[in-house]
Amino acid sequence: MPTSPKWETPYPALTDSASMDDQISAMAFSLDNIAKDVPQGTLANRPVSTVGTPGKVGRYYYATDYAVLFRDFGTGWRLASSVEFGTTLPSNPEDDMLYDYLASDALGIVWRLKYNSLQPTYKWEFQGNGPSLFAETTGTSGLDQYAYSSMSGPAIAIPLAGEYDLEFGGHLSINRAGGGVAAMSPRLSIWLNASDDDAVYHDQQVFYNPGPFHIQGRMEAFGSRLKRVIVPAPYTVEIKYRLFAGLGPALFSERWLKATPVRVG
Amino acid sequence: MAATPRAAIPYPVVGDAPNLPLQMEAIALNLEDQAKDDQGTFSARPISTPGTPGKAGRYYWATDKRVLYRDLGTSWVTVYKNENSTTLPTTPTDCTLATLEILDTDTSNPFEITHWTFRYVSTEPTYKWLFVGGPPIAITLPNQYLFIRNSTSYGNIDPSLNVNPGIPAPSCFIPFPGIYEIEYGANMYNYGFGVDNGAALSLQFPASGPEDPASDNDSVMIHSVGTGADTDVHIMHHHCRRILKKTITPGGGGGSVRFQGKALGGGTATYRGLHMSIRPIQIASS
Repeated sequence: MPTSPKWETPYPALTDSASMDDQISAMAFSLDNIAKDVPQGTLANRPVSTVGTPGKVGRYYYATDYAVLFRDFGTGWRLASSVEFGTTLPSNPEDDMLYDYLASDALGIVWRLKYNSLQPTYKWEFQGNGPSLFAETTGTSGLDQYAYSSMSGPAIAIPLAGEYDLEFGGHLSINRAGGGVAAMSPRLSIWLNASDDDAVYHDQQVFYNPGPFHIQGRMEAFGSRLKRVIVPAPYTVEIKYRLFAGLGPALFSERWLKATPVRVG
Repeated sequence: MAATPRAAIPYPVVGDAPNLPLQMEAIALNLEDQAKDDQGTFSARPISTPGTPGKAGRYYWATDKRVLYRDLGTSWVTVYKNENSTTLPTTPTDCTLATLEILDTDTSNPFEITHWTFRYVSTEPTYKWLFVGGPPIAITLPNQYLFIRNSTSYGNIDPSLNVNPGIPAPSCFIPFPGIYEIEYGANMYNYGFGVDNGAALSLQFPASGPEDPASDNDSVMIHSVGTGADTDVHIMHHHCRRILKKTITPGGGGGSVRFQGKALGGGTATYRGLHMSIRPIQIASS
């Protein structure tokens, strides 16, 4: 039998033997994999496709009230004209695939990610200046020790391994009513690698007094910084604190922490 | 007649009464729902208008625009659509994406149009439109624009008349109620003559009623207080920067977030290089 030029649908020619059943069934089976576009209508009128009441794989339905195209995968409908949304990255993505990842349901944070197989490790690239995970701790806390330690956060649960921009800051101050010293310096750092390399400084030179009197009194200021880090697995990032020099307590208030993905996977 | 397993296309089998027209009609009617697809330049796309109807369910790939269109029967629509609008859809569903066009009516800000893309999530309790992406609304002033506040309580900061006369304090427009991320700061100092000198900078937020006043909780500040034997005057210049997460509920038509300041220990709090940027986290449609 000859076939049509585009979809190669078979049809009988005059020279074929007269077997109508075979010829029509050949045509019908050939057409079985052609996409269907069932009559458009409202979303409420979309045909049923569930596990219990299977639909038809490869069928499309256009919801006129939402201007959205759906595709039937046999036991449910999926969006064909929008970006998929969920809390688990697709396991077999194609390059350029978009996915809206719900990074935090509680905080209402969605990250739009785009798949790029050329990335060596973290192949889902963050798109479009979307929202960041953010946490803050109000009120004032003080400490009087030189080792980094926790003080009520703030902390952020990083949900996916990847590369992130972490920004953090806060209000740092010292208050010595008497018996001051030449230099005092409160510092805060992120706990991912709580070292002075990660710290926000309240520069001790600001407090330095070369005269006969040591510093007494109070000095305070806001500080902040940005650091790009690798988070190799889901992890809770937290701000930790220390007094670098002099006598405490070092005081910290209005602390904030922000995490923005660069690429994840 | 039997039917194919996937699309249920009927076909005759041995034992059926021979009726070619009826059997072909059954196939033809089944194929009425067949998706048609063609491609070519946009200008070659077939006509589909109320006056010259097309065929509902037909697809066309415009090779020059790289866009897939679907024929509604009386017009074409893009399959993947995310049109700009100054309002959000009133009857969204969980698949709805919308790009909001922000027309900044705040005259203190150089007029700009900003586009924010949102995704509707019906399970969110209050602010159901989650931000997907877009640039922040931002203002940045150069350092020569100097503003002052001569009071120890929060209030509007004023232009220093001998430096930048007539330049109002900047502010940022918020279109809808929601939760926003705000980044702001300035280079701050206070040339007071006592041992207690400082400057605080905070924000006043729009509300459906009286505006939500500036507070220390939302502020950045520098402050130096000498006591005891140390009576030297301490003056600090410092660029303070902070990021805030804030629920803002302006009335209909939106409102503006404004800088407010106060002098700590008296004197004059001074601000240079003011900057503020705002982007949403999640919002309501009105």
